[in-house]
Amino acid sequence: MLKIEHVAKRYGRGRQRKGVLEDINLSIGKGDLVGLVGESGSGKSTLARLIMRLETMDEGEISFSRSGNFYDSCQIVFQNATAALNPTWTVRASLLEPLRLMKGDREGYIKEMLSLVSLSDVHLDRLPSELSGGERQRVNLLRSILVKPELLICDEIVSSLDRLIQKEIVELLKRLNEEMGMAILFISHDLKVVNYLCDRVYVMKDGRIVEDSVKQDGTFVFSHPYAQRLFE
Amino acid sequence: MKSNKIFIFWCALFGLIVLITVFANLFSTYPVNEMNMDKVYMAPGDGHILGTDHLGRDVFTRLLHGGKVTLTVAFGSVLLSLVIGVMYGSVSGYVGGWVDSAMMRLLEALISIPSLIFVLAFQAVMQGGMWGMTFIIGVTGWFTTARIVRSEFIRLKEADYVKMARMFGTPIWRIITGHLLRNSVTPLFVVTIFNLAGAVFIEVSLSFLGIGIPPSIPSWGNMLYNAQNDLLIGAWWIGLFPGLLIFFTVLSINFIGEMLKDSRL
Amino acid sequence: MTVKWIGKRMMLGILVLFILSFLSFFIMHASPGSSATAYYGGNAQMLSAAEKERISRTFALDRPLVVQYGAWLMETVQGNLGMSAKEGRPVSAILAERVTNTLLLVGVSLFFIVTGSILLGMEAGMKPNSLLDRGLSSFSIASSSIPAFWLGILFIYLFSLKLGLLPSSGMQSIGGNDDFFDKVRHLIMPAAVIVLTHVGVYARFLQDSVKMEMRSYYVKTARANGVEEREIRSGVLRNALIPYLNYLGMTIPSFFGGSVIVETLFSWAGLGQLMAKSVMVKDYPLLMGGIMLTGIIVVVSLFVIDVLMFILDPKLRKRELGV
Ligand SMILES: Nc1ncnc2c1ncn2[C@@H]1O[C@H](COP(=O)(O)OP(=O)(O)O)[C@@H](O)[C@H]1O
Ligand SMILES: [Mg+2]
Repeated sequence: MLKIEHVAKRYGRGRQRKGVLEDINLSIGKGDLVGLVGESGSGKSTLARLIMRLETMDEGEISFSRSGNFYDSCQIVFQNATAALNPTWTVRASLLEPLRLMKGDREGYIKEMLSLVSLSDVHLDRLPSELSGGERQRVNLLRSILVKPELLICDEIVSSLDRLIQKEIVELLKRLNEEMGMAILFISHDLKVVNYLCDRVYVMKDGRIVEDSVKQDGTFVFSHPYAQRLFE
Repeated sequence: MKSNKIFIFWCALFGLIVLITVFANLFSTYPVNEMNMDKVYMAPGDGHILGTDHLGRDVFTRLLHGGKVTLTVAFGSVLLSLVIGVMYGSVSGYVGGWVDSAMMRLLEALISIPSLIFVLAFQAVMQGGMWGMTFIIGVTGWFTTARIVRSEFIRLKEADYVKMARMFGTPIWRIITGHLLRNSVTPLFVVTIFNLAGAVFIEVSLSFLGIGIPPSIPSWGNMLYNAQNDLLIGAWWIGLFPGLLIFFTVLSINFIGEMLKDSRL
Repeated sequence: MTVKWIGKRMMLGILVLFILSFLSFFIMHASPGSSATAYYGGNAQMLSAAEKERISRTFALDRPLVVQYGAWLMETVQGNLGMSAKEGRPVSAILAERVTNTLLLVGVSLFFIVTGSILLGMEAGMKPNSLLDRGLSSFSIASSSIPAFWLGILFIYLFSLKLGLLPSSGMQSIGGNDDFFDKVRHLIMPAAVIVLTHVGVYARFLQDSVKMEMRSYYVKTARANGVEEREIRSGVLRNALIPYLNYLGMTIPSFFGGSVIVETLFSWAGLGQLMAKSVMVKDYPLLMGGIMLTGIIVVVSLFVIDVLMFILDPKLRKRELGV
């Protein structure tokens, strides 16, 4: 469904120009649960932005096999839920935003979906500042899946939450994957979660993918020393 | 806690001034333009609590009605400045690139020109009344507003929720009004408050010089037009009271603006 | 790199003058009557047919507006600003008589504003919680809320009328002959009005920067290392002066706007009073000339501030010179 080939990305100009991504190859099929791990600064978010067409790459190609509006079939959830929600909009207004073109009972649809992320009607009239961190991230996540994308990119969406809520969200992602067949690219530096959620994982270091591995018998096996160290 | 009370005090003072001028008809003791040649230059006292002017008109009454004119001009022009400034700043900040650089160069030059020069130039060829004055102050007073809108937009358009909005296909005008402007309200409010003080200053100064609002319309500035001569013959009340009212109006506006600005930082 | 910097600043100056030339040309066109009337005022009727023809040709009056603008600009650049509509004298001659008076008033006022605000701002910023520190912001807000002309009226009432200390208007006493001290006596009140309504704002601005400097790392280290207080003061002042100068540069144009009001009130025969008067009597060529000259003065003063900043600010110098 998504195919990334020989992608490179550089920032800056002249002498300060520096490569952030180099020769990235990655693919995601329909309904896949794929992890992308690497230290902070290794270029994971940059890759996510490239996939989402928020920035242009310098080399390579990214192909997405679904026709129609790209953002109807591919969505992203940003790490920082506080920054991803307009602080002056109520939850209702934020959730209505992606449904601008939807016909029928939008409000009813939202209410129906709210229970999916264990939120209720009372949250609809609140501002982001009136929600807890976990609630905010669930609203953020819900907003991105309202259009029922076929691929969802989650950029460190559980990293700043406590364990209990982390688990809840990860379970939700698993369910979305099973019930709706939604493919997920789960970006994280938390290996435990990736180990639990994903079927396949890419390991990134300094802007390169150093290894990829498919889960066998519940664990990943690596040959690259960096990946081994990471997953020890 | 203490500063909260002070803030409420200045708001109340400004609100009071606005109220008594809006309801000038209720409070005034004489018809605005009623002249009484038997009672010229009467000192404050019985019948005329703030005295009368060189035509025997009641200073207190004219003060209320003059305030209505001055504040209408000020509010109207500030609104106009806000609209122009928001439009200019939005385009510059949202579009970015060379359009932004060109627009900013122009703005920088416009800011470098004394705004009174613009006002004089327009006033020379327009010779308008109250609304003409409002227009002139409005179209020459939007520069700072534009600069602030632009810098807010540049800051906000990189926000994640704006990126999300673009991906959801939210129309540009909705991104601008709902996301960018909506989150620039506080700084816009502060700069508009300071613009209001500036607009009052320009009206009273120009009318005082005799090149503002036509003398037939009572405004605080026009009331001071003769104040200099009146003072020389000892009629201090004609200049004192409008001046004090202008002072307290601008003072309260400025304090409100300063306190809002500080609370934001 | 310096060349680039100077070029950028010169661009600004040129743009300012261009905008003002459009404004002037706009006045000429929007004013009632033909352009020739606008340019030659009341005298236009007295001109001979040949003269009118010559003017029409010089200013390309029968050509499109752009060409007319170009022709007018050419004349203006060469210093031909037309004739005053009311006084029947060349505009340039009248401006020349006036410009020094405005420069004198604004220059003297600026001198006292700058020195006064530096003294007050330093003192307030270096002594936290002193009376000056706590009172300066209120003073600054209050003093900038007084309309300058009204303060002027109060001054005239007090110092001229009641105390008889200072002359109420004009530039010299009647029958007086260019006496220096007489002129100074006339200058005191208008300058004092400008200074008093501005000094607080600038002092407060400097106070804020000084306070910021005082909190900075280098002051703390210097203190800890026993560096003399005098040296710290001069270091702090030097750094705080950079944003202060920037602010001064941004606000300096307003002094030439503000002088319109003060000059008129005190009948100080400067450019500001001239422009206000020409608006009143609809002397368009005079107003246009005044606007262009004010523009030039503003551009020059901005340039002076830029040079001062460049000398003071090592960062700017380093960046621009690539040292
Ligand atoms: N807009 C940008 N301009 C310049 N450098 C950037 C930009 N965005 C990211 N970088 C750099 O790219 C590298 C990778 O960043 P990022 O993709 O955010 O890593 P990760 O998400 O893995 O923590 C970092 O060194 C970062 O400084
Ligand atoms: Mg990241």
